[in-house]
Amino acid sequence: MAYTEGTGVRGGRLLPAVMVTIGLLLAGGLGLGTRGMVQDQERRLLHERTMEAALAVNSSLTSFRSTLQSVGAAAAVSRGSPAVFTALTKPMLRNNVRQIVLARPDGNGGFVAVAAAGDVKPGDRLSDPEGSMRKALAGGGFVVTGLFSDPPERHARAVVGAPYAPQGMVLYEEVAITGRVTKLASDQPFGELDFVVYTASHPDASQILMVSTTHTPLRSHVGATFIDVGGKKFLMTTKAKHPLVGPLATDTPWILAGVVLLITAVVTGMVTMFRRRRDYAMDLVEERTAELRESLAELEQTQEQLVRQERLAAIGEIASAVGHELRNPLSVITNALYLIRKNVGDHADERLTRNLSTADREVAAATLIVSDLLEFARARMPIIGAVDMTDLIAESLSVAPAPDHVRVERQYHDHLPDVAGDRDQLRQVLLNLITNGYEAMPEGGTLTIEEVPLADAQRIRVSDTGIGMDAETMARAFEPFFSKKARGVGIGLAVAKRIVENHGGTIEATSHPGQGTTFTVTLPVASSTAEVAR
Amino acid sequence: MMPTRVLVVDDESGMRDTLVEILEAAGYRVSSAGDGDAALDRFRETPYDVVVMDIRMPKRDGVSVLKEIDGPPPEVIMMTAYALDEQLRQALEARAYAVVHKPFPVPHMLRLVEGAALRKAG
Repeated sequence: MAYTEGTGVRGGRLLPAVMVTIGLLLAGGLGLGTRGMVQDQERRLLHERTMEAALAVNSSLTSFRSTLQSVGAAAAVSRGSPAVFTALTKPMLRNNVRQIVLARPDGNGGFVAVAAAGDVKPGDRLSDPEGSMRKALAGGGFVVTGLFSDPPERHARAVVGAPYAPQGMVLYEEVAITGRVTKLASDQPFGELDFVVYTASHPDASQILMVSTTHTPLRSHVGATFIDVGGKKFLMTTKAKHPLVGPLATDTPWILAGVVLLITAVVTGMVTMFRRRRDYAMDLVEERTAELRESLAELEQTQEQLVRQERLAAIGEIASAVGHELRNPLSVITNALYLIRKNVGDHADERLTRNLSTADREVAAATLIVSDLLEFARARMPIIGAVDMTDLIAESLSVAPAPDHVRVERQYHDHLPDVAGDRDQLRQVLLNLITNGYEAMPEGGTLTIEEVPLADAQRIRVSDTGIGMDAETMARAFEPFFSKKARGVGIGLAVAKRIVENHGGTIEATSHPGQGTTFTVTLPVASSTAEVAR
Repeated sequence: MMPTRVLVVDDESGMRDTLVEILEAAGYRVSSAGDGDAALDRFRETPYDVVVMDIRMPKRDGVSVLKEIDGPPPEVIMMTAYALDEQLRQALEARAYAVVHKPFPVPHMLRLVEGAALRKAG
C-alpha cells in the first residue's frame, strides 16, 4: 500500500498539537513561575544587602557626627578658645575639608568667631541659604546640608549646635565632595553591588555623595533605602553586579522549561509514531476490507450474471427447440401458398391475391421471428458465398410483400458486384429492415431500398417515411429486447447487427421523429477468388 | 433429352409432398423417400441427377446418406431446420451443392435445383 502522510494520519494532527500546546504551556508556566520565585529571592537578597550597606554608610556618617559633637563639646568647655579649638580640630583636617569654624549665627547666615581651617577669618560672613546654623543653634544638634556648587567644586556642610558648641555659637564644617566613582573589587565588602548615595531623598545627579559606578542613575532591579543623617534623608540605591542568587538559580527557569519541552517533544514524537503505525495498520485493514467488499460485490455480480446466463441459456434452449419445430410447418405452409398461387394463376381475383399476399407476409413475419430467436439463442457463423444483393432484395420483397398502403421504390445499378455473405442470413437482415419499415408506416408511406456501389463494398439503404425515432429510442435501437412496437420480441435489429458485423460489415441508423428512419448496411463485396457455393 | 431426375428425401410428409409437387410442376421427374435408408434403396434402383434432402432424419441423417451413395454422385441440396454449425460443415465437406435453411422461398429452391442440374449435366 502506498502510504502517505497526507492520507495516512487520520485525525492524528490534533493530539500532537494538543500535546505540544500543553507542553509549551507547562514549560512556560513552570519557567515563569520559577523565574518569579528566583526574582523574588533576588529582590529579598538585594534588599538585605542594601540594608546592610546603608547600615555601613550610616555608621560612617554617625562616626563623623560623633567626632564633630566631641570637638564642639570640648570647644564649649573652653568657651570658644581659639587655641583649644585649633588643637582639637587638627586631627580632622583632611584634603577635602575646606572650612572648620565656630560661627555665630544671625538670621540667614552667621559670622566667623573662630577659624581653624579655611581661607576665612573671624568676622567674615558665612552664607547659609538652608538655615542650617539657625536650626543647629535652635537645638537641632546635628544638621547637614545637601550638596551645593562652589565652583569649581561641590561642597556640603555639617553643623552642630548646643549643647555641642559654645553658647550662642555653632561648629561649622564645610567639605568638598569630589563625586569620584569609587569602584569596589568583588572581594571587598559589598563588592558585589553597585551603589549610589544621594544627599537627597530622590535620585538627583547633582546630589551624589558616594557612587561606585558611572552608570547612574541605577535602573532595573534596583534596591533602595533611606539613611537619616542630621535631619535629612539620604537616598541609597543599589544594584547587584551579578545575580545574588547565583547563576544556577538564575538559569533554573530556562533549564526547567527546556527539560519540559524536551520531554514534550519526545513524548509527542513517540505518540505520533505510534499513531502513524496504528493509522497505517488501520488504513491497511480498511484497504483490505474495501478489496474484500469489492471482491464480494464482483462475486455476487458474477453469480448473478451466471444465473442470468443460465436462465437465458434455458430460455434459448426452449426457444431453439420451439423454433426448430416451427420451421418445418412454416416451410410446408410456404410451399403450399406457392402451389395455391401457381394453381390459381391468372384466375385469381383481387381479393384472393390480396389474401395470398397477406398470408405470405404473415408467414414471412413468423419465419423471421423464429429465425431471429434461433440466431439470438445460438449465433451461427455465416457460410460465405457470393450473393447478388439485387436479386436477394427482390426475393425478400416477394417473401414479405408490401401491405396495400405502402409503396416500395427500388434504386439500383446494373451489374453490381456480388457481396461476400451468407444468403440466408443476409435475407434475414433484409427482412428485418423491410418489415420494420412496413410497421413504421401504419398510415402508409414509401419504403425505399437503394443500392450504392462503393470501391470494395456495397451499401444498401432501407428508408421509410414513417413515425421515426427519438434520440433515446435511436440510442437503444440495436439493444436486444428493446422495442416500442406492439408486435415482436425486440431482437430483430440486434440480430441484424450481429449478422452484419459477423460479415465484416456495418449497420447504422438515422432517424427523425415524424419524418422516418434510414438503415444503412455496408457489406464487403466478394473477391474474384471467393468461393461460390450456390 | 431425358428430364432431370430429382429425389426428394424428407421425413416430414407435408414438406416432402409439397416439394415433389412444386418440382414436378417445374418439369422435373421426381421421386421421394421418407428416410435415409429408403433414399439409399431408391438409389440402388435408379440413379438421380439431383437430390434434395433434409439433413436431420430418423435412423440415418442426410450427411451419412450423402457419404454412402454408390454410383455416379448426384448433386445434393441439403435442407435443414435446425442444423448445427458442425453438421453444416460436414455437409459442405461431403460435397453438397448447397445448404438451405427452412423455410426458404420456393423460387430460390427452384434456382438451386436448376443450377445443380446444369452442373450435373456438365
